[in-house]
Amino acid sequence: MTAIDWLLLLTINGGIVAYGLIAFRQKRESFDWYLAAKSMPWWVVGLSAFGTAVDSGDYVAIAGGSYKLGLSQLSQWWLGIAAGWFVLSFFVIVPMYRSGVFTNAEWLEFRFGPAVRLLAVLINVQSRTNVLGNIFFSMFLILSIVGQVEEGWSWAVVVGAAATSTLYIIRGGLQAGAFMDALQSVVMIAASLVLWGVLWGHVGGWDGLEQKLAALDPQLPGTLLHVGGYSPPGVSPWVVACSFVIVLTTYAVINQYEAIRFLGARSEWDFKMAALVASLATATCLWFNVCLGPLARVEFPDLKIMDQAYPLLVQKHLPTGLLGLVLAGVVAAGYSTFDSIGIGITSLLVRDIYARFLVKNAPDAHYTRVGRLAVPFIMACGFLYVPFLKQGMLLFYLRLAGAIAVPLMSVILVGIFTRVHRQTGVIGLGVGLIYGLSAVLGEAYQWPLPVWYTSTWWTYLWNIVLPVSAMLLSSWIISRWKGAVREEELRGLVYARGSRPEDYRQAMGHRLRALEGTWLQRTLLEAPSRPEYPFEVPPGGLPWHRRPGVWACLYLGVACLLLFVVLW
Amino acid sequence: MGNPEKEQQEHFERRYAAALLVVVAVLLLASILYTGRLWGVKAGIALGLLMMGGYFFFRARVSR
Repeated sequence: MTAIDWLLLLTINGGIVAYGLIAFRQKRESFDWYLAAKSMPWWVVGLSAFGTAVDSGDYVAIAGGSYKLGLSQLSQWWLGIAAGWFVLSFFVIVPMYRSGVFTNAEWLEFRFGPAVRLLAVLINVQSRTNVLGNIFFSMFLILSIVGQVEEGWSWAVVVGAAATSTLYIIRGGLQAGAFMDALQSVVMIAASLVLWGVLWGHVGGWDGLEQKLAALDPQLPGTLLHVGGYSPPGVSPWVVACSFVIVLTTYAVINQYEAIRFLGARSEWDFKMAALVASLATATCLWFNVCLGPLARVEFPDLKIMDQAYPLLVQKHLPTGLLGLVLAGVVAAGYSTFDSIGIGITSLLVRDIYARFLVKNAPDAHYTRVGRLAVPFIMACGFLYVPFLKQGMLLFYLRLAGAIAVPLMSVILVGIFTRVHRQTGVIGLGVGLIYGLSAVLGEAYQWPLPVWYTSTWWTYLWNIVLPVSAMLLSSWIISRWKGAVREEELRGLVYARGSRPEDYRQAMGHRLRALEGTWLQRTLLEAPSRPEYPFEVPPGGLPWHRRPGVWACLYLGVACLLLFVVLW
Repeated sequence: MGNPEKEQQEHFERRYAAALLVVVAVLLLASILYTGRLWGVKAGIALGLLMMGGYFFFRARVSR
């Protein structure tokens, strides 16, 4: 890396960070700091959701993953995450937004009790600090391989980036983070496009890639260039595709650091349109990134550490100037997720642990101050994962997400869409976690268990089937014993078309006796409601091109066609 | 009548964006002096950035 590359990297990222520090003033009220006063327009929420979902780990890990798994990963990035965002914005977030909660874990306590709230926080913290570890390790790989910076200095730079990213979050909260993400997302897409364009031209496009892979091994084009091409022993390609879809649907549904962006939208229409923006930006950027794996296979057929694919491609093919531009995008991707994890996980720790169980009735500014102090602590937790990431970041993440995160998604979806009893949440989550962890341990210690029980890919399916069945069955038993769930218990907590926030906001504030007289109760009662639309709706209803549902269906239809027909 | 504070903020944002885009474009063009490899790609990106920077600068001048 030359001085000019470093200058480009620092100018682009430093310029964005400096803007965040100048433009977003100190926010004292918790509603402002945690939820941007519910003021953000659709394009900011959408680009921010994209920037949050795609981090520098996803440049390095996705290229490393598709080096082995090929285009099969497109099913998660084109369909899985989009489906998750649409389910989140059209259904899951609606009762949360209307009821005035700040976090999805908070909603879980209203729906299923404090144990589920607590477990949701722990799952979110584990999953996101794992991702932080991925980002740190990927930045380290890039600096040490591409920049040829000494290991100690590489880690020092990574720590420095994490530290500076906390600055604008501490100052401007969610609003600063989301606007910075929107700017960073433009740099990220440009970086992906530049690298992909250079390599795609170099190998001679699709035909050239197919021929060069076939020259290495006649089976490779079939495995790497088809969505249904990858299937490990005992697992069909459809199970792999379904697992990939579920992994990112889960991501979008359960993660507080995604949910908090949608909760910060200025209207319900805005967060629904945001899901479309996020899906389109992700599909574009990840097409470029996923293609890099097969391209790397042509260039470096015998890599022992898959995650070296991206840095090696960058180093070999990009001249001075373009190298700095692309690395600026990778670092921007890191920044956009650092800040999101900072604000998202802080909101869980402060609201769902600190304010709920420890200090319940301090002044509002106290909780904003504690949030600011928690951000650097969360960043530090990511470093604990680094020693476990050397076998491939993507596979490590997939293993843990199937075992731990999917049961939480199942519980949230059952809670939103059905009328199951309050007690069933902890049962569903417990069943899913016990199964998931036994599958992980069974595989790690080679217990005599069948592949369909322990395989990473099967875990995704079982962790939907088992928790959902357990919840429905236990709810049926409780209904037989105590009668059906009362209407008042569910009001405002399950998805219902046409319900208005003002109908039940007061009831929400007084629903849990444990919250009486606390800061949590005050914020629930006092936070202002936001409208369904940010504009006047014409008497005949919205024209088709302003209806988020039409665009969501169109997007999902095109994605399915491309994945399961054209590229399968 | 608009909000003067908001207008001032927008004016600052446009000038800031213009300056940042121009600096990045100049750095990219300077990198052609290091190596001529893929110079057309660099020049094309730099031209795009300069055009965007010019647009923001023009908007900042108009709104003044």
